[in-house]
Amino acid sequence: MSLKIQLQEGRSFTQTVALVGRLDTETASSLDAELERLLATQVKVIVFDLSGLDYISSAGLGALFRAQKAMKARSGEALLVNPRPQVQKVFDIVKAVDVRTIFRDVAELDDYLDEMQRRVTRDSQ
Amino acid sequence: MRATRTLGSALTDLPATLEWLEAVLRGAGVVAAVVGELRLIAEEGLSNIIRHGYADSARHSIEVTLEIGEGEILLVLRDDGRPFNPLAVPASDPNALIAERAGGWGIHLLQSLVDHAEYRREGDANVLRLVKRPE
Repeated sequence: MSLKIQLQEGRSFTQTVALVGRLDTETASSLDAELERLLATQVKVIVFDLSGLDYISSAGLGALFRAQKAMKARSGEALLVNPRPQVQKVFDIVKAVDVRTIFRDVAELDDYLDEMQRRVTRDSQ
Repeated sequence: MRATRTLGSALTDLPATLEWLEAVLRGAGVVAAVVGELRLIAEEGLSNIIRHGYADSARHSIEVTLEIGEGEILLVLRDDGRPFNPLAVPASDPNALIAERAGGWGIHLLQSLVDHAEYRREGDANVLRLVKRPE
C-alpha cells in the first residue's frame, strides 16, 4: 500500500488527517474507509494535511470530493493544507475541490480556523 | 529506448504496471516531475480502459509501450475493448458531479497533461498514442 493515513489530534471537533504517499486508484478506498470512521464521530472539521502527498489521480480527487461533500452535508468542512506543486496542479486542472478550502500553509489555515471559532463562540452567546 | 509490458484488465493489475513505468522512466534519466505526470497519464488512461472499455467480464490484456527519445516521450496504450476515443470526450465540464461518475475527471486530466495525443481504431484494437515533451 502506497498511502499512509496518519490521524493527529488538533482543536476540539477538528481532526487532522495527514496523507503521505500516493492517493490513487489503489489507495482511494482506504481514505473512504477512514472517512467513514471519522463520520461516526462528532468531528466538525477535517483538515487534510497534504504536505507528504506526492501524487494524486482522479480516483484520489474523488475521495477528497466525497469527504468535502459528506462534511458539508453535516454543516462541517473538509479543508486541505500544504499541497505540493504537483498536487496543486491537479487541483488546478480538475476543479473538483473548492479552491476556498485549500490553504497554502498552516498559518493561513490557523487564521481561518481562529476566525471560524470566533464566529461559533459569538453565535452561541 | 523502447520498452513494452502487458497487463490484465483488472484494476489490481495497475499498480505493478505503474511501478514498472516509473522504473523505466527513472532508469532513462527522466526528471521526477515528468515521471510523475506520465504515471498520472498512464493511470488515467489505463483505469479508464479497465473500468469502461469492456462489454464482457472476460480477462483481456492491454499493451503498454514506452518510447523515450530526445526531447519526447511516447506512451502507447493498446487494448481490445469496444471502440472508444477518449480524446473525443469534451473536457468542458470538469466541475460536474456527473463527470466524476463517468470518469470525466481522469480523461480531462489526461488531455491536459499530454502535449500531443492521437487515437486510432486498428482492427479490433483501440490505440492511444500520448506524447509528452519535457521542457
